[in-house]
Amino acid sequence: MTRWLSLSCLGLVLVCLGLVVSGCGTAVDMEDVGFVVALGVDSEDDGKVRLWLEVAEPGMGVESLAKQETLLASTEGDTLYDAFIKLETRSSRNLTLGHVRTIVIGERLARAGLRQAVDALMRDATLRLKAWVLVTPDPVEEVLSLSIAGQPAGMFIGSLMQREAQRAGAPSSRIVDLVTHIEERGVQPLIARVGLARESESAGGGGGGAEGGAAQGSASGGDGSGTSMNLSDMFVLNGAAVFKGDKMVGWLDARQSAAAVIINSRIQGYEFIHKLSADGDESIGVNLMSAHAEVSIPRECLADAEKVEGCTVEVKVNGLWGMRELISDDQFMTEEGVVALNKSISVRLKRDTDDMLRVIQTELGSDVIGIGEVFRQRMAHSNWKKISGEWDTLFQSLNIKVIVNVAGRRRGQILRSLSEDKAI
Amino acid sequence: MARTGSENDHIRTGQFAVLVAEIVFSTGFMAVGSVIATISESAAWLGTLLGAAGGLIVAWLCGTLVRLYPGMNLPAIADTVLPKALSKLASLSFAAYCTWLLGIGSRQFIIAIWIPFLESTSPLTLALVASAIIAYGASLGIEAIARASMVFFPIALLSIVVLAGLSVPVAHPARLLPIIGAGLPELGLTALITSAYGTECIVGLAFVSHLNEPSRAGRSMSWGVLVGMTLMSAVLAVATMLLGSQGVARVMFPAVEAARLVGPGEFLERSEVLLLAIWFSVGLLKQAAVFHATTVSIADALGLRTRTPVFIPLIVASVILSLYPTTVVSVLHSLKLFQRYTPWYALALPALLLTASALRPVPAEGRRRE
Amino acid sequence: MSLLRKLMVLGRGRRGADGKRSRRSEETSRGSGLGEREIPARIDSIEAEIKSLFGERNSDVIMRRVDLWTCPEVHGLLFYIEGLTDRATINAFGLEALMHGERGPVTSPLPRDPKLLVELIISHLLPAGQVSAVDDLNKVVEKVLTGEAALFIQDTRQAILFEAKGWEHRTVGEPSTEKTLRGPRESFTEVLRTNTALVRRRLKTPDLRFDGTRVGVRSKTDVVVVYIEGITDPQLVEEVKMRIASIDTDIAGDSGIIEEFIEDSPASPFPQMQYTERPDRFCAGISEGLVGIIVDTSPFALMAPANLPTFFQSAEDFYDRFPFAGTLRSLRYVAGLLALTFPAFYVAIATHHQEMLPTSLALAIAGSHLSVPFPTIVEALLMELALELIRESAVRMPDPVGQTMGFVGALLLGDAAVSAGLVSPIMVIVVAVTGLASFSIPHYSVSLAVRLLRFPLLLLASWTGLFGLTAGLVAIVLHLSGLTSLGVPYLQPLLHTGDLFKDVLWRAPVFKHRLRPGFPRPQDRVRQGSSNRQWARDDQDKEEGADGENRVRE
Repeated sequence: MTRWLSLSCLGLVLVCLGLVVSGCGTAVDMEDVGFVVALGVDSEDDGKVRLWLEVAEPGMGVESLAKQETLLASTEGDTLYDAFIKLETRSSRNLTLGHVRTIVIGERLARAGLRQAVDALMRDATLRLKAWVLVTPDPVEEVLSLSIAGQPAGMFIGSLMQREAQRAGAPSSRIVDLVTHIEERGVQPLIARVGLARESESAGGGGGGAEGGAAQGSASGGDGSGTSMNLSDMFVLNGAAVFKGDKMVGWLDARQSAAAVIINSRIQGYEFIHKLSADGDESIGVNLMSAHAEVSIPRECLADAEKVEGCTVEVKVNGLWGMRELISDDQFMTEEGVVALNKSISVRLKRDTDDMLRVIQTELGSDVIGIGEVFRQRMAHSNWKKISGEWDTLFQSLNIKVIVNVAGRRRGQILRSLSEDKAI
Repeated sequence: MARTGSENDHIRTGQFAVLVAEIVFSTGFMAVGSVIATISESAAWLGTLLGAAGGLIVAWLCGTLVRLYPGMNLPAIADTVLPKALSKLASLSFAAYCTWLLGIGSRQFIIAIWIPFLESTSPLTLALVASAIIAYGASLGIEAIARASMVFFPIALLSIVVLAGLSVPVAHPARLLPIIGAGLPELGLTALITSAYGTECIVGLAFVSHLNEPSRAGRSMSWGVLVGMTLMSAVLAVATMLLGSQGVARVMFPAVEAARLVGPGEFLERSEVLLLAIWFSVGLLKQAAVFHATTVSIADALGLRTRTPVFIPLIVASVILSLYPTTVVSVLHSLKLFQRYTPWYALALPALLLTASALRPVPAEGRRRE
Repeated sequence: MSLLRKLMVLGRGRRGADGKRSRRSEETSRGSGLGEREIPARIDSIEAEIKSLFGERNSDVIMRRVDLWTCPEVHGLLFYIEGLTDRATINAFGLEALMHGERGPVTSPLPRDPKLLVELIISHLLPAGQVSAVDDLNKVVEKVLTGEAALFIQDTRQAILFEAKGWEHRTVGEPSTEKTLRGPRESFTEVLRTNTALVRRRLKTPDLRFDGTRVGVRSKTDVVVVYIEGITDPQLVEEVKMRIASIDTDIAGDSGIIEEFIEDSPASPFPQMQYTERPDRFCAGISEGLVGIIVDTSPFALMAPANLPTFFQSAEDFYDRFPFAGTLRSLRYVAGLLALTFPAFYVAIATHHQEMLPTSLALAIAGSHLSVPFPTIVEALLMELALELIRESAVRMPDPVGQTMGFVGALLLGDAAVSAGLVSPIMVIVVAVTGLASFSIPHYSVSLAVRLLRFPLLLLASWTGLFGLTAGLVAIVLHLSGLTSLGVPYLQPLLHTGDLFKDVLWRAPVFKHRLRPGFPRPQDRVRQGSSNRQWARDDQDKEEGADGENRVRE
């Protein structure tokens, strides 16, 4: 008893000593914390880095939950951290990155390279590694200052991305993925694109392929809100930015990025309108409920590093789809009809995928679909070491054969569309 | 404190296994990845699992020793089988090993709390709190530490299971391919490096005299090594699946980084703080056990009757040891030194004692049971 | 009080004039009782002697001179203490029988021989159950002080003691601190015999032992060590008896005092003995091999060895059906942990790990804390302190007032503090949840420990965040690991993973408790036969057999 008494006394003394030495703890009260919910970076004309921080104001009571006040602070500095220091010295609160949900990167900086910008973020212990990273062709300030239905931009984009995380609408691009893929040779970063929907122009990509049909991809604009909203005040997740290392090299449009996402990961949803006839009168609303891709590489390519160049790689996409809308005279009520429909949709998906492959293989030369990673996983480490350095050029030489095979599973609640003929 | 770590302490074999597992696992697992992922890349976890072999050999040797000389701690065994000077050397080297382990463990532990967890708190504060708890635990004796470990270690084990479970939605199992990583030689090297953690089980030789069933010491020690190394390997596998092998090699504490990536949905998405808190609890207990072993072994090596004279200086020493070396680079360097040299020592010591006991001419009073 | 001092002086005087004995031996002599003292022959001198012992003016010391009706020349003195004796008994057995007999005289004249005379009076005149003749005045005084009456007969130098106990006492009532919805409603009282009877009624085995002893030089409190021969580990019984025997104190008025004298680590915040006022609970413990201690004048009986899980068991656990009882018990552990750590956890998160909260919650907390002038830790300490004050004052109030005061105080204080901007609403919620949780710990003594330990944890948490909290918890568990109760480890049942869900964290069905818990090292571990619910198994077998036959027929 005396033993533990004396020891607890000793412990107490040590604790008190610690209190004295450390200056009474480092507790920071909640109201003294500046919660950064979104972070934007871009580069300026003079090569400096401009940093935007969207800081949420602590709210009082119930009304604050409906409408979140935020403050968008911005400054420029030689580096990202330089700008951060400047903002911190001007803030009355301790800025913490622990609540950053969204990181918006300007296209200019993305094209110049992210290596330096990411460094400060990754060194921060509080940063959420699961924060979303998006690239925008629009001015970052405009994107971040947009607030929808009382929700600040950072939170809103975060929710959009969260919803798309398992779907093909946007690549699920978290900061940790960006960082990992910058370093990994076998797969390049594919980062979601966020833009502002403008009434005047149809939402399209700034770079690579803003081709026909892009309008269908802007699925995630502002659904969920019942009231009428001005479409110009909307975010659009539409397409993706293709990186080569830390530098952005171009855009994929919505269809291409969806094709890339399907190959990259197991998805659980991708909605699109598929035209059944050339003139566009007949169409079907498709929801790809699940899809995943399998990559098969011939043995000899894996066994011999020399044979990788020009190797034929087979990408097999399997999926299940459901019918959400049918505008057609043919109701596809026969087995043959369904098979034909499956084939037609598969062909469309294959066309998208081939289109995407064309862009990333020949135009951009960046392996965002991770074929190289598959090589790394399956071949001997020594072989991979030989080819990893020149993987980007090898990837361009690959002959990627895409086989899409989707099957219809769901028709919705009705068997047939409404008929004009009342006599039925 | 007069009756230090009472002589009547009894630990059951199950508790001994948990203690050993805790010693093997608790502080090493957080930082081990960054060193070995650069060597064997995606197979770092497999290397860790293979590294258990070293620990198992040491456990077997120790078990044999304890069976031959039940109820004795290492210095006593050394006194029995070795000539006087050599036995002193063995005891002193064991004490030095324990001290080294204490130092490197404390330093890693404090850094692991400080850098990812409590950036703004001074490391001295953390060291003071940690040392107070460690010293308190050590003063209560190994029995109390063993019992407390029986409470906290299952929680830590559960936390690893939770970590693995929560990582499922975000993990890429394919990142563990190719299975043998950068190649077989690299895998072997990794196993050799990680066996430094497995062989930490030799610390158990400081407690074996308290075992209620000395004949099963070897088996429970092996179980401890297996469980500890499996957990370590599991954490590494999860980290590799989440971050990729390059990601693991890049960060200071892959386990912490892995924990930062998992979370049960939006609510409590930063569960890493909770996981870390749980891991710190076993870390503290491991340090307490090593502290206890250190005091006992130093006292025995110096021929002191109680460990009281060693106690206070060692508390001060452990505070200092947990603050140096100051830079992370030199901490990593000392970690590498530890990984390179200690497995050999841990193998050599029991092997030497066993050889000596086999060569001993007449079975004296030491060989009670044959 | 003066009486005892005089007795002691007398006793010492008899032993001789060696007044220079060491203090130590003097102290031991205090407990060992008094020497002998002859009874004077004459009634007058007896009366004078008693008066000198008790003082002249003790109004409750009754000395009544009687002359036997059979032979009025025999003078006697009836000596008793009013209040300790039952008036009806005294009247019937003492006065009436001696002075107002209706039977014819047995022998006339009465024998002159004092011994024969006393025997005759015992056998013919005193119709009481427990009667004895004593020739030591000190012993007479001692007995009279426990409620017997003494009859001195002139010239015999003897006193006849007869049982006349009958003091005012509380009747067996409902337990007030261990209330249950279901189960017996009897509770121990302040009277030892009532309590032992309550136990006997539940354990009708001849193996039940009540080994009595006395503690307290002045209070002479009866203490009974209760155990069952053949179940309880004799070593435990010996240990308890040894520890009780070693108590050397003046007054031991309650089991709480005895507990503090004999527990392993009095400085620990955790109790190492359970106390209960429920005879059913007490008997359950005794039948599991625990050693019980019943103290006269205390309605709380002690049981040892205790361990942490026993303090999370409620009497009701075995009266409700097991799925609910088991779940509630698990809930109590959660409540205990919550009561211990919740405020500290909140403070740690709010001041060190803000990134851990969901953003909206973090912003709400920050918003609610905007107007609060104190740092979070001060706020928490203030509220906790207020809660403790309310609780303490509510305990001291009469029952209905106390309850109202608890509620009203908490509500008013919380609301006022929030609207005055002194504390944030979230802190009120945290403290309220903590308070609720600590109320659901069934044992007051553990709930006290939890309340006490909450404060250091709060400080540690505000100082070094969750690490501090973890360190504090590790320290507490280490302390508990080192703690023993009668030498039995305090955490033992928690460390036996096999029994964990039988009667520790959860409660298995009653018929599954085939063995007694192992921690008190019972001599006989088997509590139930294995034939329980055999009929259910038989029925099942029969049904299966019938099914099989049916199938065969089909």
